[in-house]
Amino acid sequence: MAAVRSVLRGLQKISSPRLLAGGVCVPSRNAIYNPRYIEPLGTDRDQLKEVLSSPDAEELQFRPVKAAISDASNSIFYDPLLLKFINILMRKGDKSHATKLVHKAFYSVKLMKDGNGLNPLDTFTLAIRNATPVLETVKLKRGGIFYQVPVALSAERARFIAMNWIIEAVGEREKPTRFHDQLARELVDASNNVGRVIKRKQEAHKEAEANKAYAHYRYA
Amino acid sequence: MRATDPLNVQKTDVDYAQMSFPNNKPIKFREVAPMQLRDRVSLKRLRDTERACLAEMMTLFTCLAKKDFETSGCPKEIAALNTCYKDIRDESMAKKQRALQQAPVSSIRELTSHQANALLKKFPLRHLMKKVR
Repeated sequence: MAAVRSVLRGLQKISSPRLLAGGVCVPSRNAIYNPRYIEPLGTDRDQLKEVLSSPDAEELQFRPVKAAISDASNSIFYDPLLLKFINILMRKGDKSHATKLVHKAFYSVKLMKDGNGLNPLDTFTLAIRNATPVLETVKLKRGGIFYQVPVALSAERARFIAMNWIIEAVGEREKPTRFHDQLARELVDASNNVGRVIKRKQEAHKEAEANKAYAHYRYA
Repeated sequence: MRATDPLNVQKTDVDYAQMSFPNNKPIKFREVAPMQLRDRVSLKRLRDTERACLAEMMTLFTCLAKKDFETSGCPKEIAALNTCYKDIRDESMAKKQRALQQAPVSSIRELTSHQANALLKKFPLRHLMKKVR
């Protein structure tokens, strides 16, 4: 499903009028692609057929293609959100370790009584969605004084904060508890809209609300 | 001038006649630089001046306070804030891209300092002033 979704996302990008018009290069971190480049299509044959029969097909045949993400696959277990989480969890480049921890945590989630009986991946997705903040406060110096200014978040930033909060909450566990067990605990808690991460999110929102008088300093 | 000031200055430094009768003669004007506008402006940072999404943010705060800071209570407000913020970001990105172009395009209303310089280089002010004169 995820693979299909990624393919569809790629297609949406292709068909956006701005790209087709051949706009300007938009640099993203470490990579600058000419807007003529298209997102790599998956290897799903049905999807490819659909693309090739679309009205853009002739145009697309002559478009250069961006390098595929090394982790991307058409496996039913492929989930970009999970990969992002593993990458954020990863320390010192040890991805296999991070992956193992997450998989063990998912195993624990499955065994938990209050785990909703969901697929652990669904629990995870729900947990991230519940933990995602809408606002954050940033420290800005205006007129010689530092203010805590509430600002809106981009989707990427909000997602990162949610994942980082979960990882940090796990880091604060009591001594004998294992990382993956506590990660499972936090994920289940967050998916049930309770627990430390959710509390932290609410505190962040409360702080933003308390400083709402300074919101206009962002652009002052 | 204080009464004790003469005590603090050395005799060689000061002309007492000057002090009691300060120079009231008008200063003669001297044209140091040519009296015309230069063909360049100083470089300025591109700034986001809009106070973005404040209204949306305030509605969200009101809603959150009402719903005891449960984000699930205000999906509409959150969506409104997010779309507003996204639009603003896209717009400012486009603005930056437009600003990257050195040669000004006729449709641009706000010029960056770079673009103003490019225009001034093409059409120097002194020629314009000659025409006016």
